[in-house]
Amino acid sequence: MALRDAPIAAALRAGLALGVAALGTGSTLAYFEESLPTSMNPLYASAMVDYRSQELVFDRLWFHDAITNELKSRIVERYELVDGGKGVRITLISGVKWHDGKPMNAKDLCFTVDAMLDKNTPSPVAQEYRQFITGCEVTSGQVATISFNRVFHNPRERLGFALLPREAFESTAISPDLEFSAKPIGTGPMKGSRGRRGAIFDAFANVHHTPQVAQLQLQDAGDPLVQVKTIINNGVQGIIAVPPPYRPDLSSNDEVALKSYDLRSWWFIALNTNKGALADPRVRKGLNLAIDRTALREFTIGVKAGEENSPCEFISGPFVQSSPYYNRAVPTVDRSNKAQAKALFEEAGLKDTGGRWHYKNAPITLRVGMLAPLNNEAPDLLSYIGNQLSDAGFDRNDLKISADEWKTNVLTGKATDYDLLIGKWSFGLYEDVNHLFHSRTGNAGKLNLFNYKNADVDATLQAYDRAVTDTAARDAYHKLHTQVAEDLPYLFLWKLDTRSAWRTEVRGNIISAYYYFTEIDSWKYGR
Amino acid sequence: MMKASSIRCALAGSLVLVSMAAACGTDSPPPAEKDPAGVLSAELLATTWQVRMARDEARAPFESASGWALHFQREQGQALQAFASSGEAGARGLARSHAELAAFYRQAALLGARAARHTFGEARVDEDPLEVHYLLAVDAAFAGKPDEARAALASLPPDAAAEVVKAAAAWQSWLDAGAVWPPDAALAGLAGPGVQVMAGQNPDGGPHPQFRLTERSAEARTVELGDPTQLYLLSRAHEAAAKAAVPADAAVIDLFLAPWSLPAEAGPATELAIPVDDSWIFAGFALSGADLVFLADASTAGVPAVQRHLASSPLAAVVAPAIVDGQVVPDKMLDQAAWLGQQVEAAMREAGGGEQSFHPPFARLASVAALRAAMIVADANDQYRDAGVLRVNALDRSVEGAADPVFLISVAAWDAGNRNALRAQELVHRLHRRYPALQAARYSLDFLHIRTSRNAAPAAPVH
Repeated sequence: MALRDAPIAAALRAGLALGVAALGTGSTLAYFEESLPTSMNPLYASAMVDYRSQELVFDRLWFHDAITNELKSRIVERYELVDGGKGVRITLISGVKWHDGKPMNAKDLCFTVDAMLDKNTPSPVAQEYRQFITGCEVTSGQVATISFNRVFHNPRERLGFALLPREAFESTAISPDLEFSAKPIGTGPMKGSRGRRGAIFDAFANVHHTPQVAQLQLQDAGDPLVQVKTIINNGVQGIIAVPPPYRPDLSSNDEVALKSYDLRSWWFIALNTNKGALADPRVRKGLNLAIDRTALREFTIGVKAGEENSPCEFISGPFVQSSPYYNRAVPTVDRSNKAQAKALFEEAGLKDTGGRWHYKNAPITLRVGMLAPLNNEAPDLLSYIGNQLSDAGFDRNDLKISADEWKTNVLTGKATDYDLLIGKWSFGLYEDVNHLFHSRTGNAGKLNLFNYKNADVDATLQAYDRAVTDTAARDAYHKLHTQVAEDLPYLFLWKLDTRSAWRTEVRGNIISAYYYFTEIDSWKYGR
Repeated sequence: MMKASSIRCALAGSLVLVSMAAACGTDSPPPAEKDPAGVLSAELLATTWQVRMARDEARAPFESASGWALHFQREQGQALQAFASSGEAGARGLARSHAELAAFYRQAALLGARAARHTFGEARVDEDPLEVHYLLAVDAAFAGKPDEARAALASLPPDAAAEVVKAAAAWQSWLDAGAVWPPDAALAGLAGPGVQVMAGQNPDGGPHPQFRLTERSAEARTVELGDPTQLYLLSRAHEAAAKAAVPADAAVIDLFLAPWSLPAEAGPATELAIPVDDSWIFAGFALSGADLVFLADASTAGVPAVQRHLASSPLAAVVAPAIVDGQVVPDKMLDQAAWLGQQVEAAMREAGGGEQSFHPPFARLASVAALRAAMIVADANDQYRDAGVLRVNALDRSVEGAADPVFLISVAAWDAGNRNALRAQELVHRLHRRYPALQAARYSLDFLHIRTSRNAAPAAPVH
């Protein structure tokens, strides 16, 4: 395919109210993302934008068709189970080229597996694969066998990792800070590179991909109003996540179509259970009752109290309500109850002096951080929560945290100077929350933000891990839900549906659950 | 290197509003072209309920009846009561509400059966209770595979739970009698008060779960499951209530239900000797009475039905240009649907003497109806994936007044048939509050999700 000389998106500065827009030309599509990708290395996805971007650049070994859910592969020619199901022999298709022009072969497949198995590759994704993959052996040019530590009847379902190019790395110990994370080499439909203000994805000719869009330009989303005006004016062609208040405007526009994006996202306020007064569960319970979720939701997302089928639904635990893991017996806390909150604070020994709560004779100032890109989806949420905390008698210090800082400091458990962190977690089919709540020991608790520790919770999470049957797994997570709703390492807020908007000139734009761009080959621009 | 056009745009952008950007880019695709002639002839356009109801006096009978207001707000329970208390005047409203519930629960039954098949069929594990074979039998019966149903029932353990034994015996008697659809007579003994429908009532399906089985594990945990048979019986009871409300419209009701029937059911006659009252189509997804006939025919015949009904059915006329070489082309159909909406809205303006707030939502119903019609044609035309693309596009547009519970649950049933529990669960969760009987399908769907998720490729939680 001859690549077009697609221009870099032209930034238009159009006054304070309108901010930055971009131009879409020819078969170049520009779109607003929630933020810039933090890493384009599939081993180090920490945000949904990472997964979406990586889906353009890499091929996963197997994936699900976005429409029929059929399990497919673009790079596997055939496979067979070996060793009674404790292995799978894979024949890769021939002729596939990496974005640097080199041929893809079985050595790359085994390199990827070896990299995931290398304990010096500190990847949370790899760690999950280490639970069941034991090795990979190249048989011939395009043939390799992956072995497991147990029998699988259909291992293809589990082999959804992206292939990495052996020759792009010096060893199987792959660290997140390599240049590869910004300028990756894949076999996917697009060759990608990340800059300081955006990312560019250029179509790449290959035997197994026929992208019809020459270039995708990822723009960092700004003010949602600007996003909406820009897409209406064809300044960009897509918005990945349209905040609920802006959906009616786009829904009524003939030139723009709203599209569902199946993603399980829930929002939370993590509490630093190791710091000051927050170490006392009664204070955490008090805060849970001091926050008025109904008001927050109305102010930031525009959902009125009692509105049915709202895109934003309260939760009482670490799952969305539609999930079978959600324990429906645990009620949500929709409204504040200041009298009960006050009683709990007093019971915990806090003193009310001049309308401010004091702990050990000093006024409590809560340092509250929020992942900055969330402000686009729920405008001013940080301020509203801060105001509610003030109303409840706490001084507060509000700070927005960039996506990069969130990744390097918050996810790693280093942001212990914060008292509260406002964030969201997103899941697809795989809803394992163990790393969020298990104490940070060994390989466990990798995403435990404030190093929360509760032996009973740990035991429940281990029971989930050990569960042989579906009922045992479900019962363990129902129990976990009850435990964390009681102990409150998080104040659970809500789930929020994600809806995208694309100009109607963008055709064939099927959006995959979770990975989004799986069917990018069918996308085209123009009629 | 930046193109000259882009540079011009960048410069322009520094001076003017973002709207300038739309004019930039020399190789931008042309704007969406409207079909100048419209997608429907003036004659067919005039037959659509949207255009006929553009005049206030035409809508007055519906707007003055509280039952209809509740019906269109999806308050089915209250709508049924309002219609039932309106006597003869509310009879057709009552019939339509019951018919929609019949369609809804037919698809819910399919959803439950398919979810059970994928969970306890090829993905069955040793620890599953052996009684799950009963659910496989029900799925096979719904799918029109009596031999598979017999085999599944034969696999039930001799010491099966009493509730399962009773239900299995009913299906077995139907199989023994030759497996001629419908199985209602054989299943009559299974219909508890929760699925018996009196005129104007919407029962909740009875106590849940229907089955409490024991897992074959060391812990011997209890497995709670629902019986899709109950949803089927509830559907049939609503269907009977609809026909009892207006016996003269029985043939219309058969057509109304045809697109939502189970695979085992034979299609209805595809001709109609009686006129279709507006009560059956107003604010619905058939634009005219002829569309009901077309959709029933298309649900089994596919593309040939389009040609057969081209002259009389607006929806057939809209779908026809999107058929190329005997195949429905989704992209063309998306254009057709959009243009139909624009044409209908313009015609309503003209007929009603100006712009009215109800025009856009009525036009949206026309667009969604067109996509759904094409989906039905594609499904029957063995274009499984294309039908799925149309289904997803129709779903994306099924918001506010176009959020038809029957269509939503049908998408969930389709997803369950694809082992895709993620979206199905969202849809079921959304509908469950108003349709508590849906719980009978939810048990299996939940297990489908857990089973597929625990076998899925791992992914770390991300923000």
